[in-house]
Amino acid sequence: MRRVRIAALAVGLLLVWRQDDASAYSRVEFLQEHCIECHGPDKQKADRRFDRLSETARSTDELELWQEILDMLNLGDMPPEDEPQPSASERAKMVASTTGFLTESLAHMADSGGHSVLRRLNAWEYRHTIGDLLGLNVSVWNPAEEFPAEVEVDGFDNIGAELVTSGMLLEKYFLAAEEAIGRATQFGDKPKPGRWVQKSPFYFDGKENADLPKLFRVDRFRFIPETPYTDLYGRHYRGGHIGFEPLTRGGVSQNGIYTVRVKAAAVDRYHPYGDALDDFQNGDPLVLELVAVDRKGSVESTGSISKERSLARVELTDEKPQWFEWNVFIEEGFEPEVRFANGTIATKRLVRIITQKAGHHPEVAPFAEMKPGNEKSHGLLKVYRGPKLRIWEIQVEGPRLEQWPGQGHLLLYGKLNPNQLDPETILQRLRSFATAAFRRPLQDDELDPIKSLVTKKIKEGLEPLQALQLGFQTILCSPAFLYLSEGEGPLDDFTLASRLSYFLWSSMPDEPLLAEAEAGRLRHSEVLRRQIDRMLHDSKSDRFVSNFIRRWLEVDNIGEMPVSEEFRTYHRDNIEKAMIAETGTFFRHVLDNNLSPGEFLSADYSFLNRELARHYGLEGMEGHELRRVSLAGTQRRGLTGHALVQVASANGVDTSPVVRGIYVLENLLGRSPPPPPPDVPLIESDVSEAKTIRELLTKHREVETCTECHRKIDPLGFALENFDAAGLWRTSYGNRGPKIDASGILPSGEPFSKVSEFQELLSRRSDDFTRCLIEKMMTYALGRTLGLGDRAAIDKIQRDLLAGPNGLQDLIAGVVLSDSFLNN
Amino acid sequence: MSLPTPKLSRRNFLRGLGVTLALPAFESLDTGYLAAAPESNPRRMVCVGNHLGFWPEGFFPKTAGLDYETSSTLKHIDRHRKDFTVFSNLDHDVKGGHSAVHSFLSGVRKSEAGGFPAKNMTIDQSAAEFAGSVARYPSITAGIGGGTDMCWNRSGVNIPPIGNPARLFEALFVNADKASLTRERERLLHRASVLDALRESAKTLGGKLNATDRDKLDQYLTSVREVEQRLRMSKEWLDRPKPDSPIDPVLDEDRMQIEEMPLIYDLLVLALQTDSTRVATFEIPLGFRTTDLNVGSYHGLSHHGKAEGRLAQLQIVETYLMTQFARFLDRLKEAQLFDHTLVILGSGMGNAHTHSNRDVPVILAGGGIDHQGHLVCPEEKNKRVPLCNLWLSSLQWFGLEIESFGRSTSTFSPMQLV
Repeated sequence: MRRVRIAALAVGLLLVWRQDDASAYSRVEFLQEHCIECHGPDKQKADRRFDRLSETARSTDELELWQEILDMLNLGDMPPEDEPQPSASERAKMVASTTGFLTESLAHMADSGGHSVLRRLNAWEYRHTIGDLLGLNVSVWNPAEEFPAEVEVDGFDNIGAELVTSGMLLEKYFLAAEEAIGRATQFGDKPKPGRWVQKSPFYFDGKENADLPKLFRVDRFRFIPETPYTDLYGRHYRGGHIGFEPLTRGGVSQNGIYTVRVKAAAVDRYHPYGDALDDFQNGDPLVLELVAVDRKGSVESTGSISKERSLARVELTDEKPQWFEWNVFIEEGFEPEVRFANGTIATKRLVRIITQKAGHHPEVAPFAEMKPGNEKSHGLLKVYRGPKLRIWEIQVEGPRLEQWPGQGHLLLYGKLNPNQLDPETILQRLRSFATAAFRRPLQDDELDPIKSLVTKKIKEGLEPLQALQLGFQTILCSPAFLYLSEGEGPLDDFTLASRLSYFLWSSMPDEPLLAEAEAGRLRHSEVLRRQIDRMLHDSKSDRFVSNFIRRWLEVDNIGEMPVSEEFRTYHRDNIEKAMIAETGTFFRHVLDNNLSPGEFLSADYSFLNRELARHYGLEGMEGHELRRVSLAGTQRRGLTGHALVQVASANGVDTSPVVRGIYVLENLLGRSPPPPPPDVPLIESDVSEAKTIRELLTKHREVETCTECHRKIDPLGFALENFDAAGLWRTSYGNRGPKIDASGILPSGEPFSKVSEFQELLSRRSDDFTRCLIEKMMTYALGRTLGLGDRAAIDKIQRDLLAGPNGLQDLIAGVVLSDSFLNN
Repeated sequence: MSLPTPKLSRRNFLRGLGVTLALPAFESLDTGYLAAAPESNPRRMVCVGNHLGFWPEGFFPKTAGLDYETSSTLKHIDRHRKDFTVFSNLDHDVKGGHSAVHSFLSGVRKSEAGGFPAKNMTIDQSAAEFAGSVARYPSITAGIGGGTDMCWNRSGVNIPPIGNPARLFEALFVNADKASLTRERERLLHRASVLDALRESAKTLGGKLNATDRDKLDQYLTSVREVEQRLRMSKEWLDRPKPDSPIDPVLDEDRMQIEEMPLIYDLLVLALQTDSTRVATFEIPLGFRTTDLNVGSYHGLSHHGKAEGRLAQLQIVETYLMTQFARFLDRLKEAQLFDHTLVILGSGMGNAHTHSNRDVPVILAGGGIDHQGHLVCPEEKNKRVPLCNLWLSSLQWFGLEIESFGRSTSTFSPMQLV
């Protein structure tokens, strides 16, 4: 059990809690003075003996003993009360020294010699590799959707040593491979595009339409209008979504790009029902969302759909009808739906609210006393003067296929017809597919087992095409496809190509990169630099931007602790998507302009859309697209002002200065505080006694052993307390709760009185931040936790950045050109 | 211990399920499962986990022993008081608040799973391994929504729950059509050869690897073997028809989560009764939708700040959970399963308000064992009983001949789990 704790501690190594000056200190002397009498050669109380310990540890058993000693000292449990006690400062020194010593020793122990082990593609990499290899659109179809969640180490889910391969995963690989090969196979004539039109009404009655899903049927909040348009009222599907009847019996029959046009208008967004109607603010633009839905195996609670993919959103401000047009990818079996994304929560609720206001609104009065039912709600909705998304017509055209058969089909079958498959052509197809899938030339006998499988199946009577497809599937389940094998020592050119490509594209290398590898030129630094530059300019590098941010800033925390439904506007306005896009766009901006990493802390601007701007308390912006906005004079300077950071460091309901403080330390400043000693009392908020979290933590810090860490952690969290769990600005806890005090003193002694001053102080720590970013980026690039052996490489990158060009691109190039990256 | 054969009595059955499930059309029940159940008294296990646990003040009784005075939360299952034991001062000695809750049934957090031979395998999956293919499903994992990462297998992989009652019904009672059966049979037929080819392929790679890399490749080969094993089990069951459903089909429908809970409990009773599985789990997530009980969000309420109004709302939720659990125990009794079914209810969360994983709530019910009322385990630091000791004894009761489980130091069985 103790061993386990040690193992757990050893995770996440390099981020060492830097000790100030512990080297000259003698821990053994402390033991001699305070411990050996009871735990030495004469007595071994509790079966513990410390006299054989030295300043260095020779085994895990010894490390475990040191860990126990540390725990006891931290708790104040030892030495026993009736024995002479070390002074507070003696105790603190011993604790500091032992902590540092343990961290260093564990780093040594867990150092796998700087090797990345045989590393399985994680779910994210698998998805994009399948997409790039077979030319499939995996942004809508995710072949890895059903895979078990990957193990994360400090937020990183590509640490080869920790990735688990299981029977369950292998079974998922089989299914994904079968589906992928099926999707890429396109024998037969090019499908002819179709054109479908639906004009208002979008609801139906009567027997001839009895087979339509509920969404299409008249009910209390859906009626057949006498006008040439249909109005949408709320964002819930009853009265807020409309379907597309021509495609509702099975959806589109072919994957591909479709053109969708909607004729719509925003009516009555300024209304007489007060500043806010439910949670719709008077005057807001109306948001129309286009969604692709699958109704197979539908669940009624989601409006008769089982799967949905948001295709587009657009803001409407004009009362006059306009055509909106998109080219979107729709999968086979999916059909379009149009939704009023920011309508009042539900039409049902709207009817109730309006009825309550009947006294002030004569148009509503006749309906107020009516019994609930169709007559009442239909009548009321017809005279309702609040926001309505008005739809006249929907058109769908497609699919538009640029290439037939597609790239994947050609890779699999070349130009062969199924009846041209014979032993020779089959072998040829297997070889060329495997070469592409394995991302390197084949080894001599490598394909033999798969070749024999296909031959055997044909002999048993399976159709050659099916046998070949079984071979393809087997290739996609074989270790050479699923794993990155990087060997030992300097990487060979093909291995390097893959390492680089999985770093910047989360996927397999493309042809130009493989051509450099083939020519044996990839290890030349100028060739590598050119490739890095080319790859960062390719749109595939968006995967690096989004996934690196996800890992570095621990965005998965949000999935585990979703923002509570009580933060209504957060969900209505799609803030989660916007805030992820904000940080992504900002990262992209720093990258494209090769700005220095310090920009992440000091920028007094960011990228917002209307909803996110309002979330930040900035009024007057319109438009759903993100654009650059000045934040000068606000409390949102740098990353700590981003909602993403504030939400990822909270738990969906409330915030903790300790958790936030650790988050900032670990992810922005590269410091990893040791875990708390066992049995520390928990901090319990207690509104009945109206104690603030600050008072509670102040008490906590009065405990000698707690203060050493908490004085470094807490101020960083308190500084951000004005941001709640959804990233909204607040000045007190709850409506009537205590006022928020965001002041503090950094361990270095610098005081701040509010978050903007804290952000200013933080922006002066760009060296710490840059080092932290190098470490995070390197972990991501290598797929392993860093060890002591990587320190030299990190130091060099940082020196080079201080001396020469210091942009984010230079940092990335520094990581790729480092010894740690070029060797294994 | 001698108990009557659990023979399905139609009348009993209907009494048990009539409340939530529509009465079945009259049809024969004595096909399928009765023929397929060779043992007369198979032992079964059900684990119910609730991410946010229970408010400790309301949950733990203030007095100990058989005659303990019930608590405000437990009073809702007090009619079963002779048939369960509630424990105080048990936990896994882990930390991490929400991120440690998933260790409830294993004692091990996923981040430290590497240090244990069976990783963070949970008791349900351990029992499922033991049960093997004796029933159609080694285990049935059910949950509300996405569940709470409660069940983990020997490889340290999370087994996600089935969240939709309609899917659970299909799994239990709906036979695949002929075409898809043929397709599946073909798939299984080919898969055996594919697995052989993969094993050979791994060998061609293996020659060139160093030791740590070979470890990883071994994991791959182990996975190949696992799939082969499961393949054999699937083949065994593929051609055997599922039992007829004694109830009307459960369809996709607009349901509130508070309606799903009794429905899933009922389906789990049916799963055990038809011997479709011997092991079942049920996960109640952090995001369990409580607005239909006219109270605030569950996670929000769990951080009650000791405010009276919020605590009152939280107790409405916990009362609901306990009432449903009591009903589940009623059903098991009516189906005459209770005395051979060990039911665990609890959480990896001791106090959600403070994110503490200490002193977690644990109830052990049924199993035909000698229940002890409120069993107060030692509180002192060096005398505490690891919760895994109780899990070890529970697994031994289920039939496993093992000497340790997770963080266990010994067995723990004052209620004569044998």
